[in-house]
Amino acid sequence: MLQRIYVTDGSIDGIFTAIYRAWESKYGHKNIKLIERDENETLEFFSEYIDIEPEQEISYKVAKTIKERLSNVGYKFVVKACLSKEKGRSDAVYRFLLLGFSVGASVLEQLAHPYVYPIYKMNKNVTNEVLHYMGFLRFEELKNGVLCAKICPLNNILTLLSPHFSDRFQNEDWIIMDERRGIAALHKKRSDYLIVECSFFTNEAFFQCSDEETYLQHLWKSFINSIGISERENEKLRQQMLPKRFQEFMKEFD
Amino acid sequence: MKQTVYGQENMSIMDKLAILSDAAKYDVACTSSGVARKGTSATMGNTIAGGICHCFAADGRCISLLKILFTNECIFDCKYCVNRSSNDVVRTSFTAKEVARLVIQFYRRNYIEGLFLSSGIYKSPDYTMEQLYETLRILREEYQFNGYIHVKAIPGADPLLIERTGYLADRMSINLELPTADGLKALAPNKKRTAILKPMRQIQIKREDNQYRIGMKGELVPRNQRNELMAYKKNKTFVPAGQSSQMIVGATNESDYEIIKVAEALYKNFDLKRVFYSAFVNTTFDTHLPVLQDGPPLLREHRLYQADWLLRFYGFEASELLSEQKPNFNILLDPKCNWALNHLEQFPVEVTKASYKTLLRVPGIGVKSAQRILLARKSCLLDFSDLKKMGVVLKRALYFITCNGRMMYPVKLEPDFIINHMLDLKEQLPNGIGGTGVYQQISLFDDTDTRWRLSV
Repeated sequence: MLQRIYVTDGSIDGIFTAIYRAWESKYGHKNIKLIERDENETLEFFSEYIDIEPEQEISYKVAKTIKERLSNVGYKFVVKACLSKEKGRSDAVYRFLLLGFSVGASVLEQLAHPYVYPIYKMNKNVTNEVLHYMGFLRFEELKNGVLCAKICPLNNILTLLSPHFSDRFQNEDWIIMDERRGIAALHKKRSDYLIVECSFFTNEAFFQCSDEETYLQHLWKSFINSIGISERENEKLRQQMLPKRFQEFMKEFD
Repeated sequence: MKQTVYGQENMSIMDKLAILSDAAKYDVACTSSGVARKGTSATMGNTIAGGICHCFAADGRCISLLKILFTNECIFDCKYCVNRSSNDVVRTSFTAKEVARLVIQFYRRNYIEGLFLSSGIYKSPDYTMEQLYETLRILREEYQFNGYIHVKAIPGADPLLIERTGYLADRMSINLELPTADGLKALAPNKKRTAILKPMRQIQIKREDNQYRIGMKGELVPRNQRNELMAYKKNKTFVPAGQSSQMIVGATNESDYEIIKVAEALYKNFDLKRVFYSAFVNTTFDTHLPVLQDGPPLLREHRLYQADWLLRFYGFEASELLSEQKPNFNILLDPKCNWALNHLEQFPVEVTKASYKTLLRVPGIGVKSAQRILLARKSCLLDFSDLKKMGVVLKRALYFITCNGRMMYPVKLEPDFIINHMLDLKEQLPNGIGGTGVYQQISLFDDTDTRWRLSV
């Protein structure tokens, strides 16, 4: 029997659609594999490749089923895995749901199970990166009063990060741009945020910093420098707690 | 000498910030945890129960709050303090408005979780406390700031002022400064132990009122979690994130046993949320102070924090960890390992059956891994590789556990044998402590009861 490989675009909708199609095919779970689209991937022998286009309606159906069978906590667990940077996440989610739909919400307790552990590891990694960015993200004030931040996360965390700032700065206009994926969260005062493509912003002048901005960055830098105790200096510990990749957008480390 | 060298008016915010954050850096508490509060459309900010680290200083400590003194002018002359009245340093003060503006500007840019406001004693305790209150009032009422505020209660200030401030703050703290009253007498002649404990008790008692709110007819209604948010808006809670305190370690001659006994008493009798330990840094070079040849006692501070965790989360009592006969922690072994080696009769523990409390006492098993074990063992038979996945440090735990009746390797439950193997492991100390980088290599030793050397 030929192996069937469902190729997804790696988005939540894509993965959910592929899972639905794979299930529906009744081709036998052993003969099915899900992968994310990747041009450099070498093709496997004796396999049939099926390209999956994300379909929102189907994705919605799958999401609903997951919520019903695995609880809302279980749904969040799956979503975080879908947003992970990990290659092979589509297949991992598929295997996890195979188990989950047969045993129910208690699947979340089986941390050591080979179908659960990979999902659990992805969750940990994604959650950690969200927590890191909650602290290390830096807004700059633009001339028009909008707060603007750039991030470059490994996992696709924009939709997990934005609710935090949405709650914190309800009364501010702000933008968070994910430079790695070319998407941005846009928040308008007293309303909800939405996700747009970065190409949405065409006006360079929009991003000019306010007059006060440089001064405040200086103030902050001077604070960072004077708050450390020189007798306890420990640059290694700082590196460990605040990895280099976050420092790129933090003006205090220029 | 103690008056401002430059007039305050001439000093820029930049200079003030540099001076007053430099003067505040020896206070170690910079956590923003303990209270979860949602944002609203009328205010700016929220708080997260676990706290958030926004940056790390060159000494590797987390920066979560804008940690500053309101003023470094001080009428007290505590021998260990860089701001003591007889010390020749540049003095300056913020105004309440300046602090509030700084907090808002930093907070908007996601630099900080909020404010940590301490102060030297300027003019009198009452006057100083009034300034702190006014700063918090402006932040909360004029700027609608809803983020985290940690403020010092000034010992000796009017209890009414402390109470009013407490309704605006998330956390309040009064530093014990030195572990014993004798130590305080020797190094801080203007401070009295009783004056420190009095506001601590006041805050504790006032916080108990948080469990009730005033109902429609003026009656007391017990609060439950569901109406917590409403209650905060209608009649505010008092110091919702609890109070903390700090002790300086290594400036006086107290033993580790005395220090953790004091910490335990603070947790039990004063309901403190955290006690912080600050390795003594000699800034004044007063003749009454010890000379630190190897720098601040960082490893000792680390051991005290480890013990502190055991008291708060692992169900240990101070008297189980140390005693009058053995008053100091082992340099080479962490407190939990040390305890386990002295209580081998309680091991090995069967991981698939042991209670949560018992699991917590096994070296190599932490709070999270113990919780995961409890969850996971409900649905399947665990083996050693599963334990590893759940975060158990097997190379430490293997001497103390069985899994389905088997030990991982056939090992002898003999103190000498285990100590030798444990010491071959490299204990993962925070970077830089112990001076050798990522891991501290512990090699030969002949005395496990090494005392902390203190050269006075």
